[in-house]
Amino acid sequence: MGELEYQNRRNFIFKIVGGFTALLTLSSFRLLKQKKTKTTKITILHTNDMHSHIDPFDVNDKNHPNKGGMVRVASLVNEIRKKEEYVILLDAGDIFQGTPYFNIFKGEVEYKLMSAMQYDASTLGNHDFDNGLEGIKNMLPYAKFPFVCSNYDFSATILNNQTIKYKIIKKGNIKVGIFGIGIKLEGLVTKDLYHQTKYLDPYVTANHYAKLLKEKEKCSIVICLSHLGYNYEEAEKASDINLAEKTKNIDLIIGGHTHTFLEQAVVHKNLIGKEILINQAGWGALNLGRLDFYFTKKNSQRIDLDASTNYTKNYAKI
Amino acid sequence: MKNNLNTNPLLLLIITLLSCNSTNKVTSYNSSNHLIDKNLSTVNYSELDLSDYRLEMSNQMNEIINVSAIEMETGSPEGVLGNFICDLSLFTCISILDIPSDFCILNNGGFRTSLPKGRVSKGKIFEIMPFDNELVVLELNGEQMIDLINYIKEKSLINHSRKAGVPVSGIRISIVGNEISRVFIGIEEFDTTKTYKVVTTDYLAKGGDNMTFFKNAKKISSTGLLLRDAIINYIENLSNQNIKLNAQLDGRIRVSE
Repeated sequence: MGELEYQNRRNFIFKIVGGFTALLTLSSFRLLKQKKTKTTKITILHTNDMHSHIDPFDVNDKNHPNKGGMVRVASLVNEIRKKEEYVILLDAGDIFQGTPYFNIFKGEVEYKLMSAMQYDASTLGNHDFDNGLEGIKNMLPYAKFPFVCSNYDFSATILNNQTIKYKIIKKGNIKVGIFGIGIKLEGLVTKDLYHQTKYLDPYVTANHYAKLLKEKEKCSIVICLSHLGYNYEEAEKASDINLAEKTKNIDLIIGGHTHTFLEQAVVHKNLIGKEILINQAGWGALNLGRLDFYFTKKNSQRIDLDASTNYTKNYAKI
Repeated sequence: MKNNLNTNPLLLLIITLLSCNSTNKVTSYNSSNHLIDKNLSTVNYSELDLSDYRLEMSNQMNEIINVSAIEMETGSPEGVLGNFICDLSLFTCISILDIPSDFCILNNGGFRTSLPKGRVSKGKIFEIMPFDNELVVLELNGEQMIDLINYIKEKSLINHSRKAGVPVSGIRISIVGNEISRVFIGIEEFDTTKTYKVVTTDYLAKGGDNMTFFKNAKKISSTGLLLRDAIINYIENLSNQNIKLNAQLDGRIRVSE
């Protein structure tokens, strides 16, 4: 990913350098670069549509007996944090609604547990609006992580300045840029619940923030937290597949809404034919999405698609 | 400018190295999503103590409110769970709340899980109907009714999606091929010159799940009763009479070639 861009830039730089200095300078530069070669591993963990499933599903549940549960995700994340130096934990929305935890405590337990798990960021899903903008605002004090919402304009509502448009996380010398794309609320959420929230075009907004993060902020990787949904029968409906194909500068889309189980991230092509990854982790805290990225300044640039997986069961269905 | 650069090769080298520092690129990645299953500990490794929340939850939710004779699921063109909940909603409006009503329409997307056979806890009803949706009664004219009937037809002809089928009570629709054959409201054939009183939820009444035919409908009554509470009250009442929960498919929406 980004191979071409890197090579072009190097060629450009070498041309200039070569144009006016002796070979000696060039070889010393190479020597310096070799010395500085270092690989950094960043582990991205993510959830979506946890729907208040603090505890595992009931042992008698027809589809997911004794599976899932945020408390189990918490222990897995804890194990991974012990092994990996740089971990980023993200959520793609619909934290609320689905078990009595939400009906009784209104989201307090979900946000508190996610804070204790040290989530780095989340975006809002349609069900996070189930108790209205007030329902979100009242719970925000329990969340020690930010909500990244790039295409909801809350400026005319009580959520003004309560969410952010993008976030940059620095791990070692790697800058990770994150922005969030929400689903169109009209027809999905009652107007009384979202009031004067303005919905901005998902593709235009995504291109804007992806460019800003990649080019201006010089992030090594740009992640979009999306609650658009993976894919629809209606080809034109806004989805992660369409988002991938209509944008550039995004490296990874972490999706939600369609409760899609994937064994691993899938590779698509973006607007300019570059590879982009899309991943989603089912729902109900039944899956934890995981991607390990290796960053290096080495000369040899090769994208190594390691699709190794220890799955025995085909789990990719909606 | 060029001349200027030529005189400062060292400066350019430094700039070059600095810019290299900011161009860390992904060279490889692995992706393998984890299943969250029973091999993982439920002991919460975070610093949050959930015991007080759990105690409060179990006090409220673990109460067994009745026993179901069968497992109830949603379905298309008809599902037992949808029939059960629509029947009790219509019954509640007419017989408990005393609001004249002709039929009921809800949506399968609103039923979030199935009702298991055997003991039914209050918490299970919260899982089936987690939303705080209120029962309302609206009045529809002939034109709006035709839109509603066509909406049911379209959703009844698909049966693969979890959003297929429309749960109803008090209305019977026969679909032959792709066409509506006959429609009965109660025991009378549908009459486009009449208005009908329909029980639904405030969510659907505002056009939720694309029920656009409700958008300009006249509102007759806000019941002030949540659908979930109507379900719990009905189930508890049956329990007081020692009646187990039961329901069946009865061909209220019938699709034939």
